Amino acid sequence: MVIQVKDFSKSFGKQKAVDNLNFVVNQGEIFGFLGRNGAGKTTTFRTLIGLYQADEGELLIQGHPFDDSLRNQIGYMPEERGLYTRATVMDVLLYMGRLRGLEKAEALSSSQKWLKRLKLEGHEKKRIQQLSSGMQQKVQIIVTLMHKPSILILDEPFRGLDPVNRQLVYDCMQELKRDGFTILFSSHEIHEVEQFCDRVILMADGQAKAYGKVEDIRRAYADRFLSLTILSGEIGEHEGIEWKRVHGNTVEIRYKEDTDPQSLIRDLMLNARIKRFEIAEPSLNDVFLQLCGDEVVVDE
Amino acid sequence: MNKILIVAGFEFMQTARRWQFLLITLGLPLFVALIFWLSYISQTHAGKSLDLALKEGAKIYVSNVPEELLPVQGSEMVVADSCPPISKTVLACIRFDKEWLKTGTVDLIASEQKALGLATSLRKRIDTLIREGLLANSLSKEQMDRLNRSSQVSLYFQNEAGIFAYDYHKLLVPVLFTIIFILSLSTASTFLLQSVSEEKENRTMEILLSAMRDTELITGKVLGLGSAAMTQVLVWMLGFVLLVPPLAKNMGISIQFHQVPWSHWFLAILVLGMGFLMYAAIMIGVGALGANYKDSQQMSSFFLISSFLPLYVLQMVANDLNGPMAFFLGLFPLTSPMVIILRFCLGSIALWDLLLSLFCLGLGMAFSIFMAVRCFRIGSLSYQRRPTWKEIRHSLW
Repeated sequence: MVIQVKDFSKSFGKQKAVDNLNFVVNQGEIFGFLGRNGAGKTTTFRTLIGLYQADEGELLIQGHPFDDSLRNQIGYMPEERGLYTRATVMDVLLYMGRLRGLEKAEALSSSQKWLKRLKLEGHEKKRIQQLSSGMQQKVQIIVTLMHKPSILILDEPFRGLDPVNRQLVYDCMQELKRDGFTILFSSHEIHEVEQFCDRVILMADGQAKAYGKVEDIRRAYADRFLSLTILSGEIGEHEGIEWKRVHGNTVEIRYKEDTDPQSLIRDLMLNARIKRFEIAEPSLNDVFLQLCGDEVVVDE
Repeated sequence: MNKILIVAGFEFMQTARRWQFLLITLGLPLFVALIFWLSYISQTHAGKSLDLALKEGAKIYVSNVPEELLPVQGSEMVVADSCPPISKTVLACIRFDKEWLKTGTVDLIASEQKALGLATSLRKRIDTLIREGLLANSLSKEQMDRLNRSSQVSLYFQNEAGIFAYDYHKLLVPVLFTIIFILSLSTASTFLLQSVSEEKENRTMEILLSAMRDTELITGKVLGLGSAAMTQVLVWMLGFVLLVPPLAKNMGISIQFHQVPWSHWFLAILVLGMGFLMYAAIMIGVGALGANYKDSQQMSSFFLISSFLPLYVLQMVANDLNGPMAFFLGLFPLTSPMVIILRFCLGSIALWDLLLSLFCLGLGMAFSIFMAVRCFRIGSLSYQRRPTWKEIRHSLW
């Protein structure tokens, strides 16, 4: 395993940001952190790279607590990100590359390679403030990747990206995964996590609510879950329904533990013509809804 | 060390390349020189234009003054009962009051354009006329000439060992130190505050802190921005060094830099380094704590005012270099740099007193650095807000 977090807790004053968190990230996998703002994702990342000290527990990277020798092996993209707006693109890249242990010549060639890869050639001498926000995001990505880190820690990497750059980051992540990189990233956009991650951890209020492979988590929460396709009418309130979600003519329902699903469907058919029903696997979003009592998706 | 130097180099270059930096660094000495030149020109212009007008045959009409009082060679002055109209040939009229020896009242009549200038340039001649009129029958010509020349005062000081000629070189280091200290504080504190606040505002701080230790980042910043500030100050001082000797010469003082005791230079460099580090640390801490640059600037004003405090009470300190005011300001780290230098260079400070002041300054410097690192840790990742006292307290111990 590349990253191991054991019994990690962290508080700020009386507020517990992370409470007894445990997880591991294996070599070459994409591991997703899912949770709303304030769930404890950023605190965990910042503690992993030594910006915060853990109150309790251990956070190990390649078997060791974070120290200076690990800095150059990690590519970190914080949630709150920015660049020196008055400096030129090349100045920023050379500076950041050299801080990550590259010699000047290495930093230069790596910068040129990535600028070409991300179609930013010819912009080297421009000041950051002269670039569009999409271009600035690309520079940010280069800053994270240019020193060839073996571990990537990306805090909300898709936040604020336009569709083109979002796709670019998707592609980069897939490419890096193929090259054996270990990627740990957080998001509050569930579809991204579902689409990319080998394994995930669902967090709410500083605690892990679920942890494992996406399919395993979905399967584990597949009970008491119905998917209905209706032709007409509507699915109204019913005492046997714990929660429901409506997408067009599809309704997803989680029924209460003491409810008989067949009676429930019979009751629902009184007000709606149901074309099809099935006991389906919930999406990760449904699982999150079930565990945390609220939807995690903010930007759909 | 490598990362410290990389940060220092980047900060230095980013600051030094700004056009505002170049403009202020090179423009300020030129601007000061221009002001000096303009002031010199203005002073001499009135006299020159007077001389030129007189050379071209213009006259100054004087009334109610005995003709024998007028200078023999001053043919430009003509005694007349009344003032003719001002023209190219009549530059001005000086109308002495009938009781002028008692009252000293004089009316000067000139064109509106030249009235103020002539008032300045003719004042000495009028004063001489009045003095000579009062003493016409009491003093010889030699005595009268002596009276019209300014006095020659030589300064001496006395201590237990005797009376000694005052060495103006003693003033050089305190004056230079005060200028360098204030200028470097003003410029470096702006650079440091701006740099930390900007990195906090533009969110580069977290990326930097993931690449290096906070102490490395702080040290690199102090080195890089301190060097930028010192470069600026050195350019200004070069201008000062070029400008001061001729100015001093005009005042009758000969400045020889090599005559300044080496102990003055040594202490000045030591105290400047310690004081600069203390204030740099404070500015970094304040920059990290402020929600943004403006907020940090407001918070830093207390410390900057404290550093300038000795200037406000300079007279009191200089009047009694071993008095209670000088002693206590010398112990208080925020005010001590300037006071230590003043007391050491101009007075005779006891060794224990000097060492105690230096110890307090060292303590203040160490405490500032300790606080700055702590404040930086807590403040640098608190975006768009100032950390609460509780958070700061929690991070300190």
